[in-house]
Amino acid sequence: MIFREVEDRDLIEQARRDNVEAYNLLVSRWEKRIYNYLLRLVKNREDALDLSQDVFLKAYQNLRKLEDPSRFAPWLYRIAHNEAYSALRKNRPETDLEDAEFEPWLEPGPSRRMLPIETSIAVERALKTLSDDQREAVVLKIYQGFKFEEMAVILGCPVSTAKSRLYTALDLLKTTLTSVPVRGVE
Amino acid sequence: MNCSPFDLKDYFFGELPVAERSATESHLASCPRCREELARLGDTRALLMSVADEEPPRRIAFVSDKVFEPRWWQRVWNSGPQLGFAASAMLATAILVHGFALRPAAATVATQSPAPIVDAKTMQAEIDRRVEAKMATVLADREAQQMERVMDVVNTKARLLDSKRREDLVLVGEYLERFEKRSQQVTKLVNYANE
Repeated sequence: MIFREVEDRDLIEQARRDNVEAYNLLVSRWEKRIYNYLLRLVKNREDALDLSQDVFLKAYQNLRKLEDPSRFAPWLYRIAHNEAYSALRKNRPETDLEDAEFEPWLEPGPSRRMLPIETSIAVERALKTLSDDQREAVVLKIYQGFKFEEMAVILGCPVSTAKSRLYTALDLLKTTLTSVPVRGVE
Repeated sequence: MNCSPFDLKDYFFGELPVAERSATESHLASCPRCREELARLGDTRALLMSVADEEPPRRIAFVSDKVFEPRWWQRVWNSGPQLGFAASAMLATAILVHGFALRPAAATVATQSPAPIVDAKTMQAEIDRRVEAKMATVLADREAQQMERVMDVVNTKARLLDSKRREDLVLVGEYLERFEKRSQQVTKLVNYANE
């Protein structure tokens, strides 16, 4: 992780001197994480890809404003957060309709163990029941592994708020998911 | 709820200071309820992590755009030392030209024709004409580039739509095939029942 930070810092310095190839290398290191973060928020692959491109373009245009290159990750995710919320606000009615869909065949049976694909679907359904803020807190902590302090920077809120969103979400997910019998998770 | 002296979730995520972490571990050793709560948190995280990250459908890359790169004179203009050097060189050249080339010679003064007087209006008109011509060229270039980008986007979207349509057609074909098989089975059953 330390090596990666050092190399990222080096690439950022080069990119700041208009070295586009250095920036492309930096993008290739972060694009999968940013894409998946956005995908879990906007729930649409094409939108997530378009937003990822916008995020990296904005990051390039504002790279000189990044005061501490070792804080590149929270800074980049902050841009991604703003882009995602801007898109979510724009597409709100469609998102609500999609969330309201009822798919009875996806409900887990009471006594049988679920297959991996069914588990994925159950998890995705459970995540959809959370509010956008709660889901983002889960994504940043569980899937992206950020510390609370970094989450607060990305979300633009106090550490206590970030924690509260995550813990409320976890309580809800715990209730929904731990009743699901799954192979390999006892 | 749990009875741990410190937040179990903070402990679970490794966000407790060392002293508090030790105290929580001591408590866990003697409290089955908190151990169970911790295990449920672990199960929840394991389930969430079972949904793996996806690869982006396309790679993101940027190219250096020559249109927005500064021209040579902009680079000179924006750099102090080079600009200073250029100004000094121009001043030196002006002094040399003034000192040697433009020294008046008495014999030639009478034969020299007077310098042409340029009308200010004519000069302004010429400047306007050249600026307009340059602007028209630049605008045409930009419009052509813009059109090229638009066409790129349109073509990409068209390709995507076409590939989606093909996938849909394959699916429809599969469904029809299944439907036909089912119909044949039903027909056989009906015939069998009638016999």
